[in-house]
Amino acid sequence: MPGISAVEAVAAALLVGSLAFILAAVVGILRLPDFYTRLHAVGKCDTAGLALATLALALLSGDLVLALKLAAVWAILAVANPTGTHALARAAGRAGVPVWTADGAARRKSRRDGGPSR
Amino acid sequence: MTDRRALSAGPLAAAALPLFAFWVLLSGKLDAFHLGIGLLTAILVAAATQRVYALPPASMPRKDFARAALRIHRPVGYLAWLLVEIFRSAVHVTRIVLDPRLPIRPTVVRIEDGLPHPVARLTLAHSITLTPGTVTIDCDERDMTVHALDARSAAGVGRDGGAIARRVRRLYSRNESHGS
Repeated sequence: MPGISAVEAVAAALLVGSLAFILAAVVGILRLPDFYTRLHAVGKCDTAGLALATLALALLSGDLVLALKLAAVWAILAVANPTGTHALARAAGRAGVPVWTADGAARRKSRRDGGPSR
Repeated sequence: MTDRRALSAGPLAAAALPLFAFWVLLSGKLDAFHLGIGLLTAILVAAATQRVYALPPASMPRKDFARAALRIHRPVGYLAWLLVEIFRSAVHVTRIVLDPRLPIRPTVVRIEDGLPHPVARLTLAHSITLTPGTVTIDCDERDMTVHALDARSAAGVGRDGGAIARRVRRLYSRNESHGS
């Protein structure tokens, strides 16, 4: 491709990968059934997606100090993300937010369909 | 027992050095003026927050500083392993949420990790959150509560934290070799 250097091409690929993970986190929030399972989607996909994004930006910056700063940004995020996930999960656990289980969902469904419970 | 601890040089330096390194990174200027202000600020912040972040003294006796430097390959190896796990776990969640059948069977398991030090337990709790299929919900004096997306993830951490806990124990073990 004319006008695009190899570094820019790699950075673009990394950004696309980053967006794919973040998109997966969004799909996860929409599809997963309860608070705790949604935390899995956000906590993991965001950490990985932001790693790719900061790596891409570090490549594009072409400046060692700026690249190290971006690495520091990601390192802080990588600690802050599980901390935030843990704080949310713990608060939910103590507030008594119920944990979704496959068996519980099957029971509710059979009750709704007028199953064997009556 | 008294809660007040005198300012001591070892822990103060251990807190101030990373702060100073962070300052140098953010400022990017290496002249005497900026380095001087940075050093002063780092020491002041370390002194002011020492009591807030005070950890049990067992965390690092002074004579262990030199030996800790010799074991620097341990955290490097651990962080490399964790980085791979972060991507494996993101791919794991992505595959589950993009699967039309949404193959999840969430369970909550309790783990007795038996790790002696709060920093080691923090490392384990965060590592469990970042590895595939598991999120640490709660952590008290003795055990941790972990939410697992499916039965395989739950089996992976087992009753005692499984392979992750063994890695963390090795990371913080005092032995030169891989004692556990």
